[in-house]
Amino acid sequence: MSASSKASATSTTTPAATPAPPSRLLRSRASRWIATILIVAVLLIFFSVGNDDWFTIVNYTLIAAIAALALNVLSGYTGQISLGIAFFMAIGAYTAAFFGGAMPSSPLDPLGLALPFIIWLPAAGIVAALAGALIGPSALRLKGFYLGIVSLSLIFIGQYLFLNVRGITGGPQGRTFPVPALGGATFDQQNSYFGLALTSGQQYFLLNVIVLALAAFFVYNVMRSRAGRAFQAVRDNETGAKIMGVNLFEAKMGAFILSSFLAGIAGALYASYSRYVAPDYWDLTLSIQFVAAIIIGGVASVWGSILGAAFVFGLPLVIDHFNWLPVASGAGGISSADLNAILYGLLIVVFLLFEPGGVIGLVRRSQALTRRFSARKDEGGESAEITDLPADQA
Amino acid sequence: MSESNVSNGVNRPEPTRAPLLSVADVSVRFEGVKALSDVSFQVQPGELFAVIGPNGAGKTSLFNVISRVYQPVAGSVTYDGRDLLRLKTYQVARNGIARTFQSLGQFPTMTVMDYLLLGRHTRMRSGIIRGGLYFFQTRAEEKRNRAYCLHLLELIGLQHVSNYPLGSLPYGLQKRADIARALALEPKLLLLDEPVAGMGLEETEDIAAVILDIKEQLGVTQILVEHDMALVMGIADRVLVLDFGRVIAQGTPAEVQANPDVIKAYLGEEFGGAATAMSAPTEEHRS
Amino acid sequence: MAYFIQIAFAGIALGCIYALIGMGFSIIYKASEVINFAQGEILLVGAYIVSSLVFDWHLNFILAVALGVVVTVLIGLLFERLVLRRMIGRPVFSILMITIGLDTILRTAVIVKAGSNPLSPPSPYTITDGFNIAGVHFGANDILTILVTVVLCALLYYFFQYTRNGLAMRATALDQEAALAVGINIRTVYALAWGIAAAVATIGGVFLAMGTFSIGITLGSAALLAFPAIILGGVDSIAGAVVGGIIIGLVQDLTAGYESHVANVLGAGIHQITPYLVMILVLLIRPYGLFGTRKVERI
Repeated sequence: MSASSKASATSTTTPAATPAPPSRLLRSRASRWIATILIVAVLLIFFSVGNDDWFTIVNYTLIAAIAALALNVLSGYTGQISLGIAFFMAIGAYTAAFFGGAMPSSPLDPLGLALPFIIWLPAAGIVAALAGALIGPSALRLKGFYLGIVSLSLIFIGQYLFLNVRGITGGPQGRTFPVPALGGATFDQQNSYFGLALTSGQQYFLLNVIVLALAAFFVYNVMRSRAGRAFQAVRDNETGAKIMGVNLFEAKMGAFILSSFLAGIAGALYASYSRYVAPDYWDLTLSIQFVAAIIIGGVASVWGSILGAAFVFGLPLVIDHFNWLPVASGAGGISSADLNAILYGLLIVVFLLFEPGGVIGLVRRSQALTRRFSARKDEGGESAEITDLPADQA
Repeated sequence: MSESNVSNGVNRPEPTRAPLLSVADVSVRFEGVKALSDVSFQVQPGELFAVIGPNGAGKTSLFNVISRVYQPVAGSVTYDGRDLLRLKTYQVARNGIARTFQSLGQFPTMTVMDYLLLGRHTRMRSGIIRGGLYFFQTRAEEKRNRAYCLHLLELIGLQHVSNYPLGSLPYGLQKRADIARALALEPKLLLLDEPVAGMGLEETEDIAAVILDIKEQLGVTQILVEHDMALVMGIADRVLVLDFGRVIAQGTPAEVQANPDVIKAYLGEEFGGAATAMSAPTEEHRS
Repeated sequence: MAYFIQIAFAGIALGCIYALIGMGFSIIYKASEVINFAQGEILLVGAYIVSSLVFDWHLNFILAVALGVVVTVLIGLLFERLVLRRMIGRPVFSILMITIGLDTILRTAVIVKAGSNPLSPPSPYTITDGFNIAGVHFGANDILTILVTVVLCALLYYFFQYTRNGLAMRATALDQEAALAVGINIRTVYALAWGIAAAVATIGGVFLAMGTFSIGITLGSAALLAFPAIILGGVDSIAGAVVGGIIIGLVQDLTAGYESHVANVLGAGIHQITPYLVMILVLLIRPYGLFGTRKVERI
């Protein structure tokens, strides 16, 4: 094609041949392998030497990371404003309770089918996904803030339902939730596997790490393939996406279903780990905390979801652990939950003002800066710059 | 000279093949404004067809009808022998109609390669499940299509920015990436919406060469909306002139340039009387 | 029947409070396309300030309200100046989230300061004050709320129709670039928008506090119901905010008043979700609310 020779000859419009900045966090295969090995090593070390309290903190953080990932799929990658993630988590939790909870021994007990773990956990995801499929079509008609408030209404409608459908939720007093079990070994006590004795915390830890890893890997793959690009196109410009052939209905429904599935799993894991949850736990504050998590960690980023969850959910637990602040609210002083709320409120504002890509955005920006410093001075072109809501992969 | 004025579809030039696109008496109206009134024309396969007119003449509205973003209140559009108006917006791409965007910056954080792959959306098959599992079919699909897009980028001279986000590129390169993205669809019909807007002479020549290559080497039918008269008159096979949503002239560049109604529309009444010919197109852009 | 009128009257009064919050919200949105999620929280802050001025500083009620308004207006202006100014042109999601951030900060600040024990509201009258006509009790707070709302609506109407600044704001709402071109100072417009919104929200907040007899987290949740009102009316319509507010207020109080009759079937607390259900119903038919306008995406 004659265009190519003409194009590369015009130096005013074409940057010189620089190695293109890759869109992945870690450039070379080597650095990626090193990072993976490091992470596995850290996990292994923690697994061996962590004490019960720290397992609690880490387990809750891992579960929160799954839900943050779910929210990122819907809002970060696909741009659908949603304040309703707590609702889908609740659906997952109560589905798990229904399928896996103990059979009622009296008419006052909540319902349960006592089915095994291998059934109730996926069921939680599936039922939540079905709920997402029901809500999904509303995203086709409603845009922006309208969608946001409808998703907010899910929280309140959910609260009403959970308070009144006592058979499943236990009403205002709440209920207990089933414990994961392999064969006869239930995770709430110490068990031996292949001669290795594992504490309850360790068992939950393995479960959560595996689920999170699977979920993260799945989402990461989706986002670097055709469906993920369609999601991001929907986020950036719906009409343009349509012109390029993206079926908006399929894309939005897909995003809702995937997101709700993961949220349901996270909800079931949380409820099961906490053993007891009252319906007022699944409130607007919880949803907002997850939104804060993805903004702080990094919108449209798998690692961002994990980092954000660690900050918004893990940090207060750490503060509580060290008793740096009183736990309860409103004793005239400031509690850890209050400080955390003010902190993530502030960070939302600060990040959105200056680094909408969250912490991951900061990391990429500093990578671009160091690349700029090491590049030769007469190279043209600009380094990769993140503007709003980056579309890059993890 | 077959026709130099408004064609209402009755007096047609004798075509050698059936037209790829046939627009008949299309009218578009919104909020009381008639954006297009009784517009009719045909585009032959492989043709480079240009649509010109003063600002607000309805050129983008025309594209929006063909891309099925607008629904006309009257008229019909036939594409490849089928009724185009029965299609929904997202089905247009699947039928081989690609379009570039007039305003850029719609997808600032997408890399050039991802953008082209997005252009291949209808040529790929992986859904969420296959994508999530990745290693079973999607990986091969991604590799194949990435290679194709890289090839396209090389043709158009953008291969060394393939991993740059669109928003970080200079304006001219973004426009070029947009054309590449439209080509990635492997279209039968390519709608180019002001591809050289805001470009200097050198860049315009580059794009003109690209457009001609698309015509001659790929055989893709193109409809070009542009303001740059030298470009249009230099490379188009036939030209349609719109003014206030109406067709005021249709024909070869030479015919259109001599048309007094066209001159009146652009330069005003006083020049309309004399059939002043505009400067003849330079020959170097002709193959 | 008397019961119905009584409840309906209270509902209209509640609706007026939502209308006030909603009007403020719409004014900000029309002027600057900002979704102010914190609108309800400003109400909470305002009510709290008025209350502490009355109880801790022993100020006269009217004076306290005036001062409270001043403080919240300042908060609004500061936020607009320091934060929102830099967010111009950013996506809706980002702006919405940044106001959620503000909302979180404000709410937590009030909780920390006030403790989660609700404060008593600073009403100059008691719960039984009011008029009785034909067996129907018209509460003093409700009457005052409606009166003040009507007065404020009239004032705002006058402001927008007949004053220079009001006209400038309307022009900006229609077309910002054109407004800039004719020399309108957009900064002033934004500042005015936030100022008015904060002022009416505070006044609404004071009435809401006196109506619900507490200032605490629950007040913030009560204010949250202003959002279905805003959505129902259409986010960019001030008239819509008023209409939406009244509808939601009526729906809420009417369902609350009669829900004991259907408690067997529908359980407890249905009045907390009927506003949302009504909103969803309206959105099914009109996805931009009753009076809202469609946003066009450019390609």
